[in-house]
Amino acid sequence: MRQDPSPDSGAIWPGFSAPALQSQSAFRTVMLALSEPGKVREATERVNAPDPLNPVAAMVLLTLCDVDTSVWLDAEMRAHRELSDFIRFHTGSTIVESPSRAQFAFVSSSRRVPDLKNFAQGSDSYPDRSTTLIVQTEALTNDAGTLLQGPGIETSIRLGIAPLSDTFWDCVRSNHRQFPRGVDVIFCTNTHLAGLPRSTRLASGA
Amino acid sequence: MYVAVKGGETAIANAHRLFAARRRGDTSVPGLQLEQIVGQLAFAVARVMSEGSLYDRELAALAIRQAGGDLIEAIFLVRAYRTTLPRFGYSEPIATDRMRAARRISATYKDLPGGQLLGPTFDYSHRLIDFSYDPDAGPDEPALAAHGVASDLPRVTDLLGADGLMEADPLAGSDMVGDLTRDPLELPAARDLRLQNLSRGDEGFLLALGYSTQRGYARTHPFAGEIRIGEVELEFDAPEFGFAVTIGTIEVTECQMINQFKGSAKVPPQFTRGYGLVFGQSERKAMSMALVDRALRWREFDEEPGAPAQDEEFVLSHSDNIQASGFVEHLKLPHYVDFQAELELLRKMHAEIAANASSAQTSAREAAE
Amino acid sequence: MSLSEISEQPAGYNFAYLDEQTKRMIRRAILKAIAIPGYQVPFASREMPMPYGWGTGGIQVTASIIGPDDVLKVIDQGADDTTNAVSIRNFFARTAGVAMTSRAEEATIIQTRHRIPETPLHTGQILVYQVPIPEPLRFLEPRETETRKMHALSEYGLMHVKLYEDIARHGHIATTYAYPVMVEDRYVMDPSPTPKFDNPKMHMSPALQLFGAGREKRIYAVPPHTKVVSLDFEDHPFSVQEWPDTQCAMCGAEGVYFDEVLLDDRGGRMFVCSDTDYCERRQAEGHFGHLHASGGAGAAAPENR
Repeated sequence: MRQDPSPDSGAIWPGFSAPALQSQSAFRTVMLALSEPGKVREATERVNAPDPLNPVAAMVLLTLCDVDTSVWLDAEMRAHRELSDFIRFHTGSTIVESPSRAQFAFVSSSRRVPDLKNFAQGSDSYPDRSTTLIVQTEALTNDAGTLLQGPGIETSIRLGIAPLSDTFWDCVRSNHRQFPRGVDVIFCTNTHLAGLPRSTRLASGA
Repeated sequence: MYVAVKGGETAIANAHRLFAARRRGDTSVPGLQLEQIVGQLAFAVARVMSEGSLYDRELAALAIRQAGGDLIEAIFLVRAYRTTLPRFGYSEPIATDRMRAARRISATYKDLPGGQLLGPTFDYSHRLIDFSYDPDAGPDEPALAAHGVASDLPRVTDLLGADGLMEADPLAGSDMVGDLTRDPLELPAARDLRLQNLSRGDEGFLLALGYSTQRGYARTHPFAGEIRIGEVELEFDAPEFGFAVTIGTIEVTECQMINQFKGSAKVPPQFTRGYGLVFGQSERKAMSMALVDRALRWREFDEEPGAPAQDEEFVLSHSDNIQASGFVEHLKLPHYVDFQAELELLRKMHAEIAANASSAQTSAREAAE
Repeated sequence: MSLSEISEQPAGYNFAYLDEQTKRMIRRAILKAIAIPGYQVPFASREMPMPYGWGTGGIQVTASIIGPDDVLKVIDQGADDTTNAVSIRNFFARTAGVAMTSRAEEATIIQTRHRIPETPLHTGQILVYQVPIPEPLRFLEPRETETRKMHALSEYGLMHVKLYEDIARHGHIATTYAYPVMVEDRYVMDPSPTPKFDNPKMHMSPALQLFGAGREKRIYAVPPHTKVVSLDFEDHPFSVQEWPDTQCAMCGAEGVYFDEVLLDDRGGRMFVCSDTDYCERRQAEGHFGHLHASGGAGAAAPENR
């Protein structure tokens, strides 16, 4: 078992203990989450990190971010100095002020997801130059929720996210409308995750 | 009974053993030592370092020996090794005006500050095979100037620039340069990436393109303003120190071409630049690179495009001999699936033509009856 | 580092050869590719210890996704024992130590050159294609600067003109492999030089399909259950290769993709399954073709024309 540093020790929290193997396993989970949108799956390589970053969001951070990436944090995350230190130490990522310059954006709660328009959307020629959002949430379920369709989904799938900002699904609708431009979202609870790439659309009537 | 595709594993192992034996040659002859390659095949080593994008003479020698003297194969070995190396940081730009030059010539001035320094060169030698050359007899002691190597050599382009006759160095002052080994090349590319691509590019390819500009395909009126070869210090600015420290020296060849002048309503006419820089001693490559660099700058000077050497996408996409040789040689791999696909279509078309011909015959007969 | 250390290093390479930073870069590209099906994501392809054009793109993709629990199958021309497939399998055996198989249904990752297995793939499997020229428009317009605009505008008239010219000249669309497909009604995509015979297998496949082009520095993807439609015309609908009245000389299979083997210089030939795993399995189940060593029990008439 890994010992977390006590809050006042001033030490940096550890990251992956076996980076090559853990990041592989973690990436596989993230890749499957985006290739089968909406489907809730367990994340096995969870990482304890300073508040308010949850263990699955921390796993995604350590798996995808490094010295070549830019990271944006919402106000709640930015307020925790220890978290910024953790990100800088483990990834070397540049923490940027402007969401439109971020390759990865971390949102502390699905209750307050910013308008997706604020982030990098990519261009028609380079739609890949867009932000991936990692949004922390409390609960994900496929038993109820919004009906989704698109590549990666055999017929349709329900995704319930709680809590959730009122405007979120409207944002998803307009995000998908500008395909291939747009952002991709990964929702993370303390244990599970689900992907919502720009290619996913709301089933008609949903 | 069907064995055509079986036994791949054994065949590969045997082929490698056979190659190893062929590479070693007659075992009663002493094997090549790295010092012999580094010391006596320095031009081969320089090319492998340049196009391998890694300055390490012994490693290049190791690769040349392992490749049995096939330089593109040796470059490939070095590239594949280079890609696994961690990157600690970026050096300061090298100061070629402070080069300890072994050779420095200018074709544009009879004499100039620092002087003409012919140095070690093939030039003016008669290309007669020396049947009496004895590698074990020491060479005659070379006559060196009393002051040793020159190290205060103002650049010809700077001397011209002081008179306002040379365009300002368009890259001066830009502190960050791209790296096409870390980011995919995006077209059109800026000059820093073009120069990196050319410096790694195949010498033969650049030579042919450079030559083509001289023959009129994007003529740029080049003068060899200056070619210098020598050692420069490599400085590294480590954040821990707060100042740059010298971490070693490397030998480079630099060529500054002075080309066709260009002016505008605002700026009086000035000569323009073509630049070449490679590891080790390789004047042919540095000069070719400078010619192609200048040709690729046609947009900056509102020149008429259309020649091969001006075609950025064409030049940059085909200059790399590792990419080129890999793809050309991949034709050796089995393609029988694709070939069968073509055969199937061809046979179907033949069958249709035959069927049409026979039905035409039948209907002609019927019409005649 | 001394020279002797350098020359004795293979043991010192990272799991699956690539360093972690390179893997992260490739992984980020793979995620974008999955989010934008059919779009070619540029990536900083590394120089691999095998030549460009010999599968470096597929190898980099596989190296970035593979883990110790994976079971890998590598095929070239449909066969597990072709020389380059053997070479790539050895590379991963040495650098990742993963389990290998030739059975399509047992594999979690299948790296392929030029074929899609005959055995239907299932959910959870990943098919990694080696791609030489990822740009489907390359032979119509060699310039990346131009083709990028066409993809941006979804302007594919040039492709349709080319296919139609084929029909006018030959009576057929003359493209028999690397036959262009439309992904989710948005991007025209090169399926890699698989025969068009395999195109229908890409449509709504339950497997994740990843494409790696090392020399050309592009990664693209087709997620599971994604629309992949071969381009065609109403009056010239897409069709796949057929070998009428032909059965595999080894296993008697019909309606599969065949390799043609010349037997002599007088026109003697036989056809065998290009997919060696599929063929061996049928033989194990007791299906034999007319030239099988068993004497061709249950086989149809010999095919020697």
